[in-house]
Amino acid sequence: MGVYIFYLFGTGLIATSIVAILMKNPVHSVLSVVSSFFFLAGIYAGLSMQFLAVIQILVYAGAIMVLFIFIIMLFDLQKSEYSKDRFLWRDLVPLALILITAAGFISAISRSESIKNYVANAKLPSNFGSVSAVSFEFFGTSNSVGRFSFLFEVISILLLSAIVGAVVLAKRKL
Amino acid sequence: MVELIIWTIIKILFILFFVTLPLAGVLTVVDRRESSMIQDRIGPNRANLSGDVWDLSKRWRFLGLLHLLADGIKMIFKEDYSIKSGNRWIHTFAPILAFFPGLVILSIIPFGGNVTVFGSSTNLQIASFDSGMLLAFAFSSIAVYGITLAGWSSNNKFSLLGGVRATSQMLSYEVVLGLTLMGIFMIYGTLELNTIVQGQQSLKVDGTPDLLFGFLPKWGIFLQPFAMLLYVAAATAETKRAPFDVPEAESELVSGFFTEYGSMKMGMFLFAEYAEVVIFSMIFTTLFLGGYHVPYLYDSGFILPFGWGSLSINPTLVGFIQMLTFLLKVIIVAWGHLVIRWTLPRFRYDQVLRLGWKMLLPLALANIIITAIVLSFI
Amino acid sequence: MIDNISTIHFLKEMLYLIPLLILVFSSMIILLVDVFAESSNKRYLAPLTSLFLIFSAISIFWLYKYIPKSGVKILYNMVYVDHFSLVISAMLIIAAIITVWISSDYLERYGIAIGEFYSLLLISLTGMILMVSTTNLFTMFVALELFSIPIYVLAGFFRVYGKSIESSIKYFISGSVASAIMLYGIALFYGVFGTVEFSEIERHIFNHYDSVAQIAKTEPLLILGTLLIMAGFLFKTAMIPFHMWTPDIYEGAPTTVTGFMGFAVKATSFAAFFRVVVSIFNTPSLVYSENGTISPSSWINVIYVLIIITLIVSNLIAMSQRNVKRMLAYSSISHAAYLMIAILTFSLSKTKDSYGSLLFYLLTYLFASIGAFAVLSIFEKNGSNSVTLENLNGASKRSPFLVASMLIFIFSMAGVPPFGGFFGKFYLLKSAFVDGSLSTLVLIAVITSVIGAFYYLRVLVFMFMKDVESDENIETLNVPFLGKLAIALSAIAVVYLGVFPNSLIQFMGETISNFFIK
Repeated sequence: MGVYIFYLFGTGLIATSIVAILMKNPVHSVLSVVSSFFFLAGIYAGLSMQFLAVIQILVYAGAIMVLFIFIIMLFDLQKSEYSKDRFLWRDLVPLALILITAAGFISAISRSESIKNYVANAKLPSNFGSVSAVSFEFFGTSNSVGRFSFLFEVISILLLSAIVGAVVLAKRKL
Repeated sequence: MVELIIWTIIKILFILFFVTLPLAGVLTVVDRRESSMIQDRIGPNRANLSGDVWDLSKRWRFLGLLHLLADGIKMIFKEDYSIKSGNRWIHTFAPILAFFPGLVILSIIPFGGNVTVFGSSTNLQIASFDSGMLLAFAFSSIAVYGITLAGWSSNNKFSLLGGVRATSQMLSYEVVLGLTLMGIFMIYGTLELNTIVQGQQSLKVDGTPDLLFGFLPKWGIFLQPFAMLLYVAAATAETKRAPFDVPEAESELVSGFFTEYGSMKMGMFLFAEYAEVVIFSMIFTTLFLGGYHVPYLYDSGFILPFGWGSLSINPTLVGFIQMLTFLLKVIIVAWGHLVIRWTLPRFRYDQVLRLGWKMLLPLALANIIITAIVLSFI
Repeated sequence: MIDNISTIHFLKEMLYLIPLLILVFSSMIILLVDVFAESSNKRYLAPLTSLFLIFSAISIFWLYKYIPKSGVKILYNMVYVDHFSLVISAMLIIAAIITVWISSDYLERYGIAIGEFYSLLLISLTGMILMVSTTNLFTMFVALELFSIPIYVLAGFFRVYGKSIESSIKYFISGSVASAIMLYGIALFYGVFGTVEFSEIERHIFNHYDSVAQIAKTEPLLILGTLLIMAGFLFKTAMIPFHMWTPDIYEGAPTTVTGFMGFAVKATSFAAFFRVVVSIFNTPSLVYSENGTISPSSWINVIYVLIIITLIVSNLIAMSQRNVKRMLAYSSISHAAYLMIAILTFSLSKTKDSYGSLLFYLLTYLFASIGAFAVLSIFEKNGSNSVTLENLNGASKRSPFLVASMLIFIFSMAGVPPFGGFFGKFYLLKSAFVDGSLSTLVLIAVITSVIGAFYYLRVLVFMFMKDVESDENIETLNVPFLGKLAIALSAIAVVYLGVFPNSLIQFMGETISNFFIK
């Protein structure tokens, strides 16, 4: 069952990602990326990471990509301003490189023994991927500290610096 | 498994076709009637079913509710005008995007307690989802796309302005909306809505009611009154209704993001707005008004405070009473929503954003911090 | 698996991070002070920042005495503080102090003297220190982002100049791609081992695999992961062919930022890469084939080839640059190649000689490179944000002090004997040469450094021998007090490192040998 979910959403993910690259209209590209996020969320859900799946939709599809659309809207692009990239024969070189790399990854993953072992012996705790399990990893309990609480704090500083940076770079008058 | 699937289908059909959509439809007319009453007008009351055409007193008007039917027929049979310039695909797709994501939220709302029918018992909630409220946030933020794209694809300055306003307003208030509810999640310790509802009216371990000051049920409205006010403000802004209806401000932007829409496509936008009102009322009821609970009514029957006695009732009957209670509460909250719309003047656009970021957001944060401090001492 | 640690214990362990805590809190304090301070009082922000930095440096000295030689692993093994990390942190803080001193006047000249600059600098420094004091790939990645994002912003700090913004965006996009590639490598490691802790990964590789060939057969993901992580580091250290961002960004960024970036990003990445090499990549089964020779598909060969390419190409391109900042960018690429030689020597020979060379080279490079950019920042004409060779015409008449210090820095970078850079190169190449397998590399390094001397000395030619054509530019340059202090101290340090290198080299060697205390 999980395998079929994976293949279903994985195919969709790849298809929408390719469409996102090929579309000339930026809004179409963004919409395609948004749908690819839904497929990704589906894959997460299939892996029992339901919290991550919802966060994927909430943060990426619901907030970040909306900002993308918002900005494209403000540009008010005309048709003549859309990307005029056409297919060139020299594009085949990066394409071939990508395909070779992808083939390498696929063969590496299919030969990997640790992944085989993992698939054979995987045992997930009953609350795997739930909000409480994730929050335990991050925040611990009332008298202990979670494993990733330190990194969580570090990331909060990272976001602070990103906010300050965005203001510095974009504010009209400092 | 089969039982689960059948129950789920029944629940989906019920909540969607017997509660949300009819209620949203009725609200479209009620909104107009109520505005007329508030403004001392007569309002829409001409649509009638039959009766003597010449004798006004014999027409069957049903309080003007027939206008719902008339409007529906009109919208469906109107010419489906599609724009010449602009992006036709997205233009058609946008109303769908605006309408349907909100309906996903229905799947996590508990609209009743445990009921037993023909020996098969179930919780009246479509999916008990561990990340509950997060799903609601996620899909209400997806609804932004429909409005944004509608504004963009129409190739009309008014639409674009409306779309830009709607996007920035909804994005801003999503943040506030999430933060206002944080206190509730902290108090009940979960994001799952049914658990929150049960936390609002539960029994202690020894079987006595768990009440505040001995008589108040532990509803969100009593534990988080401040968050409740913030939530109402943020939710009104999130549904883009007056006094926050700047995206479609008819005196400035004609009709905002759906200026270029006609027929049922426009109908879908209007309908989506009322569906959102219903859904937000449901969430409000669930989080702050004890959901499907009747005060002092527990699974086994009434247990009154101060030891005034108790009355046992058949559990299935309790389940149905709770379901009806939930619907009643939702209707009352939705009605309150309409009252707000017709009694308050519209904010200016910059005021809306300033209110969101500079006032509601810090207040919501303060609410979280205070709640956390209080909780850590209890 | 480690047991849960209690909140009190967690807070106690945070004490080991006191230099970081000082930096984080001071960055926030400066943000707040900047909001409430009068604009006339903002020139005190630089001394305030350097005061905080000095506090942090003092706490590092205190910690150095306090912690055991084998280091301490804290916070669920997320952070690992040892002498190596403290030494690198001290260097980074020195770099930051010099940068702050030069920047205060520089920013004022451009009218952007705002507290956010110092705040972002401190946050970036926090990330760098965190990155060198961890043996956990998750922390390493987060720290990488933590120091990169403020640097992206700092590179675009001259918002009115197109080049500055361009450099910021270029750096951001290419840096994000590199981070993503590295993250993929980390994900593969996590998929294979189920852990991201260096020592556990090492144990796992040691126990399960014998040779590169066997790994390639049973666990090819491991080799892919190695390459991807390495690619991320090669980008940050700007080895050719991952260098394309360097010249544009060095040119476009504010000159003082370039100086900081040129040293600090490089030092951090090398230190972190060194840790990865020591702990993971150096495991024999990742390097050697079954018969004990270096396997042809080992990562060592990749680095070896890249060093040769980098040495030759960077020096050749640097010769054709008219813009001094671009020239120094290519020179920094060639320095990266030297540092890579030190890492390669370390993983191949393991004689104790080679231990100190990496850190000592970094130290000499610190003063020479930041000093050179400091001098350039003063020569820079208002409104251009770049210095060409012609701008330096007749500099010896305009400010003898600056030219004298520039002479020291340039000689040091070129590797002229009495200065620190010479000894850095000398020890590095000597220890590489002693181990026979790298003698070709040493030969190429020596030849290319002679080529390099050409473009270094050309700067001096323009400074000393060419005169300005018109009279208008003759006026002497005003060097601000803090800037003068910073440049003078750097110059003294370079000379000191050249005259008394031995004790420091020994000290650095001991620091590295602490790695092998178990």
